[in-house]
Amino acid sequence: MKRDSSEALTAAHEGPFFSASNGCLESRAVAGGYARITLGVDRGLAAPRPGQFVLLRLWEGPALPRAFSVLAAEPGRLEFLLKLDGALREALGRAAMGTEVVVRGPYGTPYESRLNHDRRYVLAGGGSGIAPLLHFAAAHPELTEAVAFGVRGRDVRDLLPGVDLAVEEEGGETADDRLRKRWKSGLGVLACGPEPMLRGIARRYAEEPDMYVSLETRIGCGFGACQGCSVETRSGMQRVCREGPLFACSEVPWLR
Amino acid sequence: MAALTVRVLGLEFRNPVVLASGPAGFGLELAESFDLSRVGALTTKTVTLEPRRGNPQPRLVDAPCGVLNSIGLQNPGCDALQEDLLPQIRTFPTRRIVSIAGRSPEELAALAARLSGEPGVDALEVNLSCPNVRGETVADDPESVRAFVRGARSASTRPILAKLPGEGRYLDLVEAALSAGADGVALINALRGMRIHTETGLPLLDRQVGGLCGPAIFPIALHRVFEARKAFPETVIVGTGGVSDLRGALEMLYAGADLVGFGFAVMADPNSVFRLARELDEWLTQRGISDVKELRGAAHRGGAHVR
Repeated sequence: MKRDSSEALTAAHEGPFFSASNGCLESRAVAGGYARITLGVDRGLAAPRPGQFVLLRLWEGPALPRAFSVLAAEPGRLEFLLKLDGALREALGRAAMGTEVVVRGPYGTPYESRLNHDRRYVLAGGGSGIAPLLHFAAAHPELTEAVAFGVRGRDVRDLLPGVDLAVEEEGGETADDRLRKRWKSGLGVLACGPEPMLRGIARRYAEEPDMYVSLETRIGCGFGACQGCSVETRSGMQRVCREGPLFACSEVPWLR
Repeated sequence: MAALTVRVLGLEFRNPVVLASGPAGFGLELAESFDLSRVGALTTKTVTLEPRRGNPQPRLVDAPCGVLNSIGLQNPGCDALQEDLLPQIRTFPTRRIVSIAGRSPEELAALAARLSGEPGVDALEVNLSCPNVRGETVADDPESVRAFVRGARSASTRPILAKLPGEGRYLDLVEAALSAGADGVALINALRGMRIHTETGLPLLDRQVGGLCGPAIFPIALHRVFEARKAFPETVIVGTGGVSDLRGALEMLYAGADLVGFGFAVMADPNSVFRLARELDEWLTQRGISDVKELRGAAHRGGAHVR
């Protein structure tokens, strides 16, 4: 289903956790296996705060929506960085401008509510995990000491102009290499990326305070009822979609 | 305005839309935003005597037209249900069905006895078919079904529904549950399925098997409900399994369901489930059908237009 992006967008407001909007694909750039897309959404849909995510589905797409963190948010517009490797993500990488996308959310606890504010952080991001960290850095310069972002292929740079990116393909440097250079005692880490990267960070800084990882699991309902995303923590089972997605490394010892 | 009220199990349900056990949790999150009086009933997540941590991640794996789930009955246990959850659940403006499971008929009886004394528990649903816990998938065998249902029945005067699988000798299991004193059945639970990682060659789920739910299983669920209604014209049936819209609900009613359960749809699109009773009302009104009960089992007696 397609429509003009200037058409009025309708939203069904059922309450804070169930706001759904028939969004509309407004722009897309594709490079290096990633896409940067913009969705027009109803202005009534609360703007996700850094670390929060929304569930997306195409009308004709897979039935269970998928969770995506946000690169940037303003009233009426959401921006995403997607790795084009799943059915829905590939469909979003191909869909015509104006294609209708159903947006539900935002869900999850904003990063800043989980962090110790007495510290500054190195933001370590790999692949599409960079998106919520850029969102965070823009909103919270006071908590951001440095960034350590990395991607595989150099073409991804075209999607994130002006962003300091390590490109594995060029210098062999990864986000983690940069993190090692930029982190020093007294700083915290806020990491989002592939699990091996998070695991490495959790191991290396096991004895350091204020190390945080943004976890990814397949989200079911998104609003905290189905327990599909729950992970074991030191304080019992916790939901990535509600208490998370950010967890202190000390809370999730299994990650090491 | 058509009449949507369903009177079964000695209870009045405002409409046939039931939130099935699982995706709705204990209703607390949904109640924050939705008016629960728009559905006929809430079925809680399955509760066991002791708390359960459930299965490790991954708990959800995508499948064509659905999802495999492996939650593993994570729940806070009966004490927490009674102390923390029921005080809230009993205020919900809908019927409240509490789903229970046990390792033995005695354990189930203990649970049923404790919950039968609780106000606000309108009915019990005995989960005899969870595909995701070891040693409790008793429902392959009519004798075990009989023993477990008898356990719950002996301890409770509340209406009892048996949640059964849609696999194997399912009609024998329905017969076993009813003969042991169940007042009705919820058909079907998720079907056992699996997926394998194409690079590692290993099952994606820790326990290999998961419960397939979603539109993928809808035609199967519909057939099982149809067969169960044919074999048991009088019993109460909650038709569940991949129903995702008005059309699916209508088909379930025609096949013989008294009430229609929504599980996967609550995860995928909760708003649509809370719109469903209104859509059903409009659909009936447009066709001049005054009462939803005219649809029930119509597929067995010449179709929708034979009254």
